[in-house]
Amino acid sequence: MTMKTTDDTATGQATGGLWAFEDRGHDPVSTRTLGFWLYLLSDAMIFAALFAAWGVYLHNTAGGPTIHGIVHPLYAFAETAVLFTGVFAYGLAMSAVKRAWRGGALLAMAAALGFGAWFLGMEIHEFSGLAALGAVPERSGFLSAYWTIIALHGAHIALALLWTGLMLVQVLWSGFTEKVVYRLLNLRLFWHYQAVIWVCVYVFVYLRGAMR
Amino acid sequence: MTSTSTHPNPLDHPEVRAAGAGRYALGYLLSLGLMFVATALVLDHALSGVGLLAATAGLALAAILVQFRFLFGLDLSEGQVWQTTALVLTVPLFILMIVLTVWMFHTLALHTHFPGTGM
Repeated sequence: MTMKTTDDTATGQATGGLWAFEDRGHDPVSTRTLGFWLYLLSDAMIFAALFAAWGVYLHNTAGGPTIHGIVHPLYAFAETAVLFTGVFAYGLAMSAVKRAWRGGALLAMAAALGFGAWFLGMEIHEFSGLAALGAVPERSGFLSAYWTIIALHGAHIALALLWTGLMLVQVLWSGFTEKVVYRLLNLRLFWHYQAVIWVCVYVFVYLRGAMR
Repeated sequence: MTSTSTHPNPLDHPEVRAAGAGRYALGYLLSLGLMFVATALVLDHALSGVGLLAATAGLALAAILVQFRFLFGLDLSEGQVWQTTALVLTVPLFILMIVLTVWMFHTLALHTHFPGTGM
């Protein structure tokens, strides 16, 4: 029996063609975006744990403020609109990147930065109002869960703002190099992920609180 | 292992080429519209109890699916299939984590709290 000399032929016969060892090269951009996507999915499990705690503590008010007393659905809907607009603005930045339009990308990123900061300002305003009412996290299990979910999402937005600011500088400084582009792609995933988590926060925290 | 990019110009990469202002606009408007409907349902008290909870949860699910499709661009194409697979495998964990925890504590409360004692 004659041995085949090429790896492809040998492995192809040995495995019955189940897979092929193709020399497709290593794609650093796709590898990094897939890795970051897997990180985001694990990050979502942190929110799953917090939503579980929220479900358990919803009625554990210890005689303090209840959900019906502290949520304002219309204000939260305005927050939703501001956040989604920021997320959309970052999408437009990626559309500009696709066309190698640096000015457009910078402008759209600055818009995302502005809407994200606006959203964060609205959350801080909401929290300062709660604190003034004495609805602080240590008051009850319910308020601990409420503050933790909202604040963790807010921390994500703060990180997105910081990251977007850094990317603005990098695009200005370096243009669309490979490293800058994969970071922009990962930041797009991060921004869009904030919209998904916010849908859960808005519906299961704010709207849930407005239901009789 | 030597790293060699298959896309010398990073802007030619499929993930960059996949960006689309129209797709993002559709995802933005649809998800915002779905949240508006959910808000209107809650404020109008058009449904009550479990019906309202189910309707808003359904609208949330629809908004999330819209975002996965139109913002993330997830599908079963060669470039996105592993992202979609990872997501599909994570969703049951996400739901089980919440549902089982809430169910467990609800059952615990039923067995440990006594009516009329305020516990």
